[in-house]
This record gives sequence, C-alpha cells and structure tokens, in this order.
Amino acid sequence: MKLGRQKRGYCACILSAMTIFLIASCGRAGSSSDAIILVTPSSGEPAVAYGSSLDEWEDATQANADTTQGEDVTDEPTQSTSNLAAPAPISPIEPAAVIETEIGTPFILDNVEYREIMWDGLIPLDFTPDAIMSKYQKELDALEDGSPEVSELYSKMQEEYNSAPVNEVLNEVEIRIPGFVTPLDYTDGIITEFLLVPNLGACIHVPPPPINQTVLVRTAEGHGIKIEDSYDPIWVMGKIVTEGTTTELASAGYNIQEAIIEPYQPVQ
Amino acid sequence: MILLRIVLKSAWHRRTSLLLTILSIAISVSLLLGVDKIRKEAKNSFINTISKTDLIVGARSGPTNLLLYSVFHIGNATNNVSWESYEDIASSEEVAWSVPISLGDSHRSFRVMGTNTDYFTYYQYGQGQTLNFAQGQAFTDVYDAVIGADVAQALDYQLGSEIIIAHGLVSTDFAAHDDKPFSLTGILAKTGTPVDRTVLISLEGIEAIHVDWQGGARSGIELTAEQALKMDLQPKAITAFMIGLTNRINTFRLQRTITEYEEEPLMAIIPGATLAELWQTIAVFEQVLLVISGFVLIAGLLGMLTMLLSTLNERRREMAVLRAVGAHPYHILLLFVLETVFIVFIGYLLGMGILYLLLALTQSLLVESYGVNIAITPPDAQQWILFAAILLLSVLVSLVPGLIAYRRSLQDGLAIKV
Repeated sequence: MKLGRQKRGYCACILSAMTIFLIASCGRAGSSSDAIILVTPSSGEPAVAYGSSLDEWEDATQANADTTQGEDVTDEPTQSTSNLAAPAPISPIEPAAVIETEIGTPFILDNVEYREIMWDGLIPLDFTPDAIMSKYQKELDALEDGSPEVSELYSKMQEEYNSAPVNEVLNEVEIRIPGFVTPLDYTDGIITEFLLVPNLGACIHVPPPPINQTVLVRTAEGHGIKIEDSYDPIWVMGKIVTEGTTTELASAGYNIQEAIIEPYQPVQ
Repeated sequence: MILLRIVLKSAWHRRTSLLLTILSIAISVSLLLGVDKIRKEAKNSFINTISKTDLIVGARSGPTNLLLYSVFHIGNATNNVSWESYEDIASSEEVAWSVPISLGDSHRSFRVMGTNTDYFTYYQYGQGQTLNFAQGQAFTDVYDAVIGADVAQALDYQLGSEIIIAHGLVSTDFAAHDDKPFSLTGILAKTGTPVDRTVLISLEGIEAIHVDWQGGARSGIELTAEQALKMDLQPKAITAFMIGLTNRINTFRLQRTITEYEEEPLMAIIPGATLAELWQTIAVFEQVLLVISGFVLIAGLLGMLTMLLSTLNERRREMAVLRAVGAHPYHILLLFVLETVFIVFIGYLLGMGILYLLLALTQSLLVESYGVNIAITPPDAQQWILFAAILLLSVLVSLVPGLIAYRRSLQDGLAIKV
C-alpha cells in the first residue's frame, strides 16, 4: 500500500518510540552494579610489609604527617589504583583529641543518633600502628638497618598489632560505619548475616585483618542485602557490642545486631 | 459492547492467520517466562543448598571448584587432604565442629559420598534445616548406606536393598566394587538440594571397598567383604571437610592459617562469599538470556504488526461499511487496538499454559540431570507487571495500523479507489 509522506512520518515516529521504550526498559531491567570504589583504610593497616625497609616506612609516615591534619571522619576514603605501590599512608591520631575524632559526627535516622566512625576508630589507642611504633622506637633506633633483628622486631610488632583487642570505648554505642560484605548466612538470596570488612577481596600480600578490623553484622528485618549487590560498599548502622576484653579467640570481636543497611555513595 | 462483538466476529473471520499470530506470541511469551522462572528457581535452589557452614577446606585448587565439587557434587577434586591435616585443623580451638567428606565413587550415575554420622547433625540447608530421615537411620556398620530422596525414587529402593558401588563417576560392570555390596539402612527426606541425589556411606566403607584397589585399579589379590573388615579401615585421606566456628569473627584468620598451612597445600573457602562470586559470574549469562527472550518477544509482536498491516488493504471495505453504519473514525482505531490487545492477551495466557505444561512434564528430568528443582508456582508480582507491560506494548503496536485505518476511513467513502 502506498503511504503518504505524513503517514510514513507517523509510522516512523511510532516505531522509533517503541524501540526506544523497549531498549530503555531492557536497560533498566538489566541494571548492573555501580562502580566499586576500593576502600583502602586511611590507616589501621601497618605500612610495614614483610621485608620492607625502615626508611620506606619512615617516609610514608612523614608524607602522611604532612598531608593529613588529624582525623576528619567525614572525609571520603582514599582511592588507590594499585595495591602494590607505596605503602598505605598512616594518619597520625592525636591522643588528646581522640574522643572527638574516634566517635565522629552524629547522623540521625529514625530518631536514633548514630556516630559516624571509620575503621581506625575501631582500634584501641594502645594498639594503633603509631602507638606500637613509638613503643618500640628506642629499640628500633638502636638496631642496624636491614639486620635480621629488625625483621624480627617488625614481626613482633606485627603480632602485637594483629592481636590487638577491641576498643572498649565503643561498647553499646550506636555507630555508622562503611565497609564491604563477606556473606555468611542468606535466605532465598538475601544476605542476613555477614562480616563487614574495610576492603573487598583482601589481597594475599598483607596478613588478614586483625579481629578489630572485622565486624560481625546481623541485619534487621527487611534490611537484608541481595546476593547480586553483595560486592557494593554499604553503610551499616547499629549498636556495636564489644565482646571480651582480651583476644580470647572464643569470645573476642565486634558485633552489630539488628543493623540497618544503606548503600554507600561516595561524594566525589 | 457492540464494538467488542464486531471485533470478535471480524477476528473469527480471519481466524487462521490470527491463530498463527497468537501461537507465535505464545511461544515468545513462554520463552520469556520460562527463562525468568528457571533463573529464579535455579538461583534459589543453588543458594539454599548449604547454610551455617563457616568454612569448607580442600586441596588447593580454586574457590569455585572446591565449592562445586564439595557441595554440589559437580566436577572433581584435584588432590586429597591427608587425615593428619584434617585432625590437626579440626582440633584448633576456633573450630566448633567439623565433618569430613570423601568423593569419587558412584552408584548408577548417582555420586557416592563417604562421611561420618556428624554429617547428619551438622549439615544444614535452606533456612537452617538439617537432614531428616524419611525411613530408617544413619549407617552404623561399615557396609551400610543412606540414600537421598531422588535416588530412592529413581531406583525404587527400599530399606535393606543391596547397593553396589562403582569406582569413578559412571557405573559400569568392570569398574564396580561388586565384591562388597552395601545394604541400605536409611532414606533421607526430600531437601531440594544435591543431597537428594547422593548415596552416603561411612568413611570406613570407602576404605573397605578400596583395600584391594591400592594401585589405582583392581589388584590381583581379591579380598572379600569379611576380610576387608579385619583390616585397618582408618581413612588416610579425605577429599574435603566442612567447618563450623565457635566465633565467626575468626573466619578470616582461620582461613589464612589454613591457606598457609605448611604440611600440605590446602585452601579454605567461605561458602557464602564463594557463592556470591559464582552468582556474579552467572548473572551475566542471566542478563543475556533475558535480553534474548526480550528480542524474541519483540519479534513476535512485529510479526503481529506485519500481519495487521498486510491485511489493512483488504479491510478497507469493512471499515467503509462500518463508517457507513455510523461508526466514528476513532471507533476504527479502537477496533484495531482491541483486536491487538485481544490477540496478545490470548497469546500470553496460551504461552503461560504451554510453559506450565512443559514444566510439569520435565520437572523430574531436570532434578535428576541438573539438580535444579523448579517448583510450579503461580506467577509472581514481577511476572504480572511484565504482562501489563506487554499489553501496553501491544497497544502501542496497534496504533500503527490503527492510525493508518483511521486516516483512510476519513478519506474513503463507500466507493473505495484501491
């Protein structure tokens, strides 16, 4: 049949509208996860990797001391493009200002005030890399660079760091903390219990996170995470409970029950 | 309504071509719904296979590989775990319970797994459900066996039936351990997991059937079942073991300890994390399948559009007659819209019918061959939304011939210049 020019136009419009509609709905249906931002802890993991020299570590602390001005917990975590590059910078924590910096700015949700906190706030003061470093500073200075005693001392410091207990200051505090999900329990594809960690896919090059850098979280009703979204960073809000004062393996650890989950949107 | 009656009568008049169109829509809809259903059910049955197990430990290969062979009985282990390593790790203070498993044999295409009675206590699936016995009980003797619900159904076994284990994954006469028959002592209740398709025997049973297979093949010295019992049946190696921890916070630490275990190359996986990883990989194929089904549906709708446009010319007289008896031009448009919606509506329902019929026929086959249990459930909210969306789409499609006819009916009189 012959279509007049106007009618041809009609048909073209309708067909293109349909196509666009279909493609749009397909696109929305098949939405992929948001870009994953690797959260490298701004501090909390020692810059000392096995075998690295004291000089490197000193440079790292120096560089960090120059750039950061104390702990501002509303900062977004730094993005690192390579895990193998310079050691993670350590932000020095001023002991005097510790109460303000550890338990950060309040965040209100449903009439509950949550304190925003970053991962280094979970480390008790005596066990921050700085504190451990200063403890052993005299011994380190006395030793020769690169000697086996230095490596031994580092291993000892590492052990001490890894055995760090939980921070009792935080017991029964309502906190808001970001992190990544390692699923443990799930029901019908919804994760209900998981371990909250600061990095996604911990690399083999450094030891596993110490007990105080892991939080066992059980989600509140209706706040489970879909297994497809388990790679995305989230905010966890809830009352953190510290169990055990020592690193008695059977009882130590941070625990949040009835956690409220929100997706983590970095502000760039 | 008169218009509806006219639509139906007009459709009936052209029933052959309409029937074919309805069929093409039905097939594309059943494909779309089928893919959606299988995807959801597969995901659920996959994810509900294991729960409350904190770590699974096996020889060092890859996390997905270990998960697949230890939990889903798909694929094979690359190496074994020595009994000493197992005992050493299982006795750490972080470990609350552990269950060893041993794989490698089969019985008439069902995998055989060696384990101890702790398996029935500690293995959980779904929402923390443990294994229950439909009949009988766990093994007490070396030559006792327990089977899953699907094995019992497929092979029609009862308590006391004799089971011959075969070496390797496919049962053949020449690879069978036929000198050492097992006797069935228990049948498990249905779980909807790969356990239904498994034959469970004790670790000592696995050792007993392999006493004269030390060289990797049947040796010349044949030992009878009774003679084998007198030998030392302490297992020397297992394939993998499952661990529950006293405190889950220690998961990473113990995982790293096992990965760096110096006595033997081992690896430990967190089942939840590995399942999520596996699902991320499969998710890509999921999306591709959905997109393909979407395109098939579009093809069906375009086929319908083609049919409507091609018959437009023949129906000009029909439209003219209707105009003559008092139909407004928008009635003509509505005629086409209603007809299209009617076709798609019937097509969708027919498609759903075809899908459910197919599922009913192949359900048992799918469980046996792929371990995927597809429950025949009524369509969920998402599928009803899809129905509404497709109907809306068909309305848009119908506007094309509808508007053409609308314009023509304004121009044509009863005498049509074709």
